[in-house]
Amino acid sequence: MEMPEKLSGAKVAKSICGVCPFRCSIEAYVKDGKLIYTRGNPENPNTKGKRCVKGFASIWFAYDPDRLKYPLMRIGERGEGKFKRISWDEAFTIIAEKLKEIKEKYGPEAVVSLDHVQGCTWHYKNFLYLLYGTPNIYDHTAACDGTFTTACISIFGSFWGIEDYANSKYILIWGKEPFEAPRIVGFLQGLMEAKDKGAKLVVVNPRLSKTAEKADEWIPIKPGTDGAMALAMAKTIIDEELYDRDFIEKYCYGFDEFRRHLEEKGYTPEWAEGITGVSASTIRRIAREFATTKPAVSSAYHGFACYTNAFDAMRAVLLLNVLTGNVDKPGSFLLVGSPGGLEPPLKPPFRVPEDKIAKINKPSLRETLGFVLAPDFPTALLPKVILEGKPYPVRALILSQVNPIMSDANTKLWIEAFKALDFIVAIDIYLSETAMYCDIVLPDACYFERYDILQGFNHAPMVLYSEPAIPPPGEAKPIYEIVRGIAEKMGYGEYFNWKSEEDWMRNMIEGLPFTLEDLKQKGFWIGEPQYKKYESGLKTPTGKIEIYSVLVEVAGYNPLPEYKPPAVMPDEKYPFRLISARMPFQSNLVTQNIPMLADIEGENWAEINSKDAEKYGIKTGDYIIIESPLDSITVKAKVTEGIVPGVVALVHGFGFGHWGMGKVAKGRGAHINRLIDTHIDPVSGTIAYNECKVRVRKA
Amino acid sequence: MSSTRKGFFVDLDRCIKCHACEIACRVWNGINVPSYRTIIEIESGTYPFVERTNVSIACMHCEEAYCMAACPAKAIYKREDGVVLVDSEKCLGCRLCSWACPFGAPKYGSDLKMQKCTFCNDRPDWMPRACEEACPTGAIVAGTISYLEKIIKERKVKRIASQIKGKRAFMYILP
Repeated sequence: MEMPEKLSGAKVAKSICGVCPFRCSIEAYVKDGKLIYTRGNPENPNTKGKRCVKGFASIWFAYDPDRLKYPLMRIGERGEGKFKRISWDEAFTIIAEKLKEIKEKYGPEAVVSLDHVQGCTWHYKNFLYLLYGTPNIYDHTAACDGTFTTACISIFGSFWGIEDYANSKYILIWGKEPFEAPRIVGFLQGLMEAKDKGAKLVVVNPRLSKTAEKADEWIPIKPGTDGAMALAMAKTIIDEELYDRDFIEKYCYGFDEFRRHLEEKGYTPEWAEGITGVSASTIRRIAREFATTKPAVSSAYHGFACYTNAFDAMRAVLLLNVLTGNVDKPGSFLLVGSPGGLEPPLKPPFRVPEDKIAKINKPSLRETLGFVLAPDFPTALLPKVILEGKPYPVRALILSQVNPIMSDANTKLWIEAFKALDFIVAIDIYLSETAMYCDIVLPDACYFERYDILQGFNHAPMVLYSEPAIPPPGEAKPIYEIVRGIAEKMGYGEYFNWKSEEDWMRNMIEGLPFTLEDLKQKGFWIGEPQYKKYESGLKTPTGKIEIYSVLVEVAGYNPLPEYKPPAVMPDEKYPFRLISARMPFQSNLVTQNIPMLADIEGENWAEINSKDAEKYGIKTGDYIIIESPLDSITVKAKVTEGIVPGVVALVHGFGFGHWGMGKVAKGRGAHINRLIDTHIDPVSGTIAYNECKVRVRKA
Repeated sequence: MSSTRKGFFVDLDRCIKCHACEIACRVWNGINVPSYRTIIEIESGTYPFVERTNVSIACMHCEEAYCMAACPAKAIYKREDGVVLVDSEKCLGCRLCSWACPFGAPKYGSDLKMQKCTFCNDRPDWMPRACEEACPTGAIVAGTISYLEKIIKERKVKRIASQIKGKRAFMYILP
């Protein structure tokens, strides 16, 4: 077919989008050395030629004059943003010496690594864990999927979950946003496809979100109380015998205990009405509809999980799928291997012989502080650990593609902790707020500029491939070259003596039923989907789907989900609850320096119900001051009918208010995390961002 | 004539105001040109019975284009296939077209001359328009009017924004 002149003769590189951690397979078109066009990989079922808005806009990474181009060394005070350019050799030497010094003085566990699972992370995770010997390697789980992942582990063993919207007939979504915060574009398309086929979409959310707008029914609920509604639904389903008896008898553990537990606690729809603000009749009706329409799926993720009671609420929401037999069948809650490429089929990029693997000196912070079930250390607790030196000293941080000063609650405390550290390295494409507090800043390649092999987020096993479309700017390097540079200086060069990237990529796919050439040609590999994996036993202690979680019991918590109110409740002095919401066109802290996106909305805003707004004389467009016991921010107001009274929603509250990153990002809007005190869900360790009471007034 | 005329429709039950159309348009037509698409949101009702409608609007390539009639320099013209284009050599930058257009389609670049959606006139017919290609929900459909009418029927679309019929109104509730 005839190509438009713009694209004719262009070289097409297969790539993996790195804007969010969900990994869409894409194609990047390069002509005369310039990246000119991108699209989703048309053959991949999760993209079908499409990308989300953030993905399209991220072509700007290739042009952005604010990208880091050279290694930098801090010359001013921490946070001042004064750096001097150094060579890679100098940077590698300094890092190697400092890491050695800290290991000798405090032990390797005094170095903590934080990253965002966006690719190439295996290289330095393996380096730090296997060769350097620190067990403290964490990603962004505590700020994201922690509650969901922990709940999945407690019920399904090793498995994670993805909803098969496309084939579902009844979709119940709790505070999750396929339309407002699209992950893989295919999931969003799946939801639209289900609607086309006549599926009913019910959204439980304190806000009329973009997903709720498109729902057949929006159920406004008091924030942080979803667990109560889900438990009352479970009780209704059991009391009215609408559960899948056969499925429960064969594959589940602890149903009778759950039934008794719901009875003893009195989790009736009437009880839930008083807590959630949702009428008992609605709860009953939704429960009946959900249980009698097959297949159905009950789905939640991060937005819903920003409370200290989130783990039990998440279990209750996922158990609705279990009670009705909607597990790992088409149109239901599908079980997938754990995300993040941490499990087979992929293998590590380089091997270290058994006898050369560093001995772990002390167990990880996660284990030491008792988070046995959490997939990751609750990073919200890291500032305290750093400042108090307990349970043991943490003296250095290695940060890759993360910005905890902006992304975690309690900004002031993080800054204090950063100031107390001996050594901090940031690997990033921008001089982020966090990088400004670091000693060495290394310019990373963006996703258009590196090789990578990653596991896809998909029900059928999927492996994705990325090759550089263009070279990195200036002296920027992909992570695998950065790790090699540091490792060589520390005497571990032998493990990194690959001649070309193909060598380590071939290591990663060893033993798999496809070749590197296959990946290069298509951009991905997909295996056969396997349904009903519970039939052959799960990796839970009982081998069954655990309604009654033995793991949770062993960890010292209630094996059955119960309802507890959120830790922070609005009061007379601070009458509103502050919650976070999303913009479909911004991705966390990644995309704010893209001018095209800044043109859409120059700053973020706070949504408030019209009745509340009237009381305070607030109109759309007014600037308001939002004050928490910790701090205050000034932000534009948007008065709407689409939010529960008594709630203020800061839209994309953690991606605006940048004071670093770049010229476009700087000084726009307000940042939410300075208002939020440190709260975590005690079981999963997830940051409870919505545990925040505020008051508002006109600015 | 009218069935081979090209145009857009936006399925109001599908648009989620994600702005993918706008960004894909800018990436294709030049990051430094103004955005040819505007996405608006209309809220109605009172809590908790609230409805919101999202509409992505660009040049609708009207059958009777008001911008053409308003242009004193005759810089705006209609191609045989119905696509409305502007000749920037002739454009005076007087902005009368922006007053005439019911969709706010005319935009002005750094040279102060009018520019707007060109129906991706540098893309061959087999390729979708940049906005249509990007739209994750299939809310934007581009093509000949007979093709659009066929899709509307197939999908049983209830509400659209288009210039398929009628001259002034742009939001239709179909029977």
